[in-house]
Order: sequence, then structure tokens, then C-alpha cells
Amino acid sequence: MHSDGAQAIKCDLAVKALLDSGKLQFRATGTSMLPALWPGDLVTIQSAGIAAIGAGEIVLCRVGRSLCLHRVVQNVGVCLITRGDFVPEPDPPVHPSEILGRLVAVRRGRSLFVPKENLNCWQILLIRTLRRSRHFCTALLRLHAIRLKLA
Amino acid sequence: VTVEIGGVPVRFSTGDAGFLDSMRGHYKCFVPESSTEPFELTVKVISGAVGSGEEVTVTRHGQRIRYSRRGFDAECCLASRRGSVSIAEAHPYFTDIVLRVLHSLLLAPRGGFLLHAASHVRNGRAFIFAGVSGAGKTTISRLAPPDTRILSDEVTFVRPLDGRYFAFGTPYVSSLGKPGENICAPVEALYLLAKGPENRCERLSDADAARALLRNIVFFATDANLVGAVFQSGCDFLLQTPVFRLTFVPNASVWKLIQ
Repeated sequence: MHSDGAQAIKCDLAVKALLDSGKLQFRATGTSMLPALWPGDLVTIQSAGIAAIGAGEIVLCRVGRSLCLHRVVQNVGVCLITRGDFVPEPDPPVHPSEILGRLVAVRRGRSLFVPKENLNCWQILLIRTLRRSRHFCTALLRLHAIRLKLA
Repeated sequence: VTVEIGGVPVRFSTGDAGFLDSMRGHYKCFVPESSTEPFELTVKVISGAVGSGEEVTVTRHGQRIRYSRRGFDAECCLASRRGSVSIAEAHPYFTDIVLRVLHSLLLAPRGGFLLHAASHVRNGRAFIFAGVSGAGKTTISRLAPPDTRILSDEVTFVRPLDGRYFAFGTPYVSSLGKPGENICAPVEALYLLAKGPENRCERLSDADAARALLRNIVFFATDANLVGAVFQSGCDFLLQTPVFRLTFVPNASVWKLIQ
């Protein structure tokens, strides 16, 4: 079956739920926000417009018919500049109509926390190491998946 | 007695001849002469209280699934395709629920699901009409023209065959009191029913269609993997099937909109 199309329907449904109720929870996938967010994290999003969002926050945006959860580098009023923590380059500007909300909580295994607006020095060091070694990155993701299963 | 709905056979075995006669009578069009690899369900008819509560509760431990409510208590193993059920009496009301829950569980990993919907076949294509009780499922079935064949006025069995979704007839009946025919056809469209002052048909967005579909899928388990499988099946179904909101005046003219 066409999994990309099914993924688009799921995203449409998620956006509708967020617009109707003001809140949305889903499991994060992908690695672009490592190490702040890991695949499998249960994230909680709260509706927010561009005026309420500041640099350092993690925002959920609509990109075509998919969703993207990245950190705000700068709010320039008419758009947001965002970037994934693990990605060296910023994303294309995010326009107000594409902004859905901000990340307010993360559940990872048994722990629940509010994401910090800045990366600490250990996280920055980890990003540098992970970028240098694809094998290390793969091994760490596997270890994380095992930890989640055991939890 | 083997009951085969949507090509998914379930064999009921018991020493109670009265129970088996009742099954043959109730599911007569869905009792094949032979079937391959049926799910084996051993039935024990118990005189006295069995199960509790009005809602079906489903619990899963690995491949073993237990489900019960007032009137029956069943335990099944999906891997060995065997199970047993204690049932309060040989009444179709209970066997219908036992079968519906079992079929919903067996369909989940195969990309199928049960829909709380009426359905009809016209010109070799299946049209499905979903809606809450009172929305008009039985009414639309009563108004169906003679060139249509009924699959159900209550619950429709949906599953993919060779990558295309088909609707299958079921013996489950609502107020129409007429079981569906044991036939199938590729799904052409899903209509979400509402009675209104005029006949109107409008296509729903993907998000609205997904919401409407999910509301009408008959599923009892809360296990994350099974729920995830049904959710995925629903999305796959929507990729192939247009969904419309059909507001209709309860007379035969509504069928002119169903093409």
C-alpha cells in the first residue's frame, strides 16, 4: 500500500486534532533533533501563533503534508527561522500559516520533562561526535531502542 | 459448524447439538460445506452467570487474547488459531458478538476491519453507508433499488485482496431484519449518512474522512500494536476510497446520487 499517502492522512488528522483541541500528543520519529529529542519520545504540543514563540523553543510546523518539529533560531516577525539540533543548516523560513504549536513536554520511558531552550555543553559535544561517526550514531540509536523496550 | 464471513472461517465445536442447530439456522448463508484452516473455537454452554459488564473488555498477553462481557467469556491464541468460549446461552445475540470481536482481532494484522455501516453492491461495486444509530443505515437499505444486493444493514466486513479493498456481506442484522448476502465487491465509496431537508453529497477532506472512518470502525481491543494496525488499515483504505457526507431525504431519489 502507499505508506507516504497514509502518512499524509495521519498528519492531516493530527493537525485537525491540534486545531480543534489545542493540544496534540504523538511519538517523535527521525533524528534531526538529536540529542534533545530521540525517536520514540512522546511529545506534547500546545497550539501557538508566531507572536508567542521565541528563539530556543521547539515548534511544530507543517511542511507540505508532513510535520516537522525543530528549534527556533530566530523569530523575525513575519516568519520563523528554524533548524534541527542535529542538522548543520537551517530550514527554509516557516511562515505563520505553517506554525502549529510549541513543544511543552516530552515523555521518554518513565521520565517526563520540559525541554530546555538551550543545549548544554555535553549535548553540543555529543552532536559533534555523532556527526563525525555514522557508526557511533547508529549504535547509539540501537542502544536507545533497546533501552526503551526494556523500560 | 464453520461460519465463514469475508473468507475468514471460524469453526465452533461443542457437544451441545442444540447450539450447533441454532448456529446452522442463524448463519445458514455463511456456513460453507468446506473451508480451509478455520480458527478453532471450542464452545461450552453454561447455565448460569458468565462474564460481566455491558461493554466488551479485551486483554492481551502476547499472542493470547481474552475477551468477555455479560453472557460470554472467551480466550484465544492468535498464533495457534485456537480458542475457547464459555457462553450463557445459544442465542445469536451472544454468538454475533463473539464472532465480531474475534473477526476484528483476526482482521487487524491483515489490513482489514469491521465497519459499523450498511453496504450494498451495485454494478459490481460496493457502496458503504456509515453513521451512528439513527443516521439512516436501515433507511438507505430499505430505499435501495432492486438492482442492488445487500451486504449488511449493520456491520460491513472490509479487507484488502490483492492490494484493493473489498466489502463482504455479513449475517449481522439491524432493524431491517434481513441478513446480508454472502458476496463481496471492490469498495467504490464510503458515505457518511445524515438525514436532512434535501439530497446533498459532498466530498470530505482527508482529515474529516479519517475521523469519520475511525469513529465507525468496530474494534474492542486497546492494545497499542493492534490499534496501530487498524489505524494504518484505515489510512490505507482512505487512499483508495473517496468519502462523502450524504445528507438525504428519506425517499428513493437519494440513490440517484450513489454512482
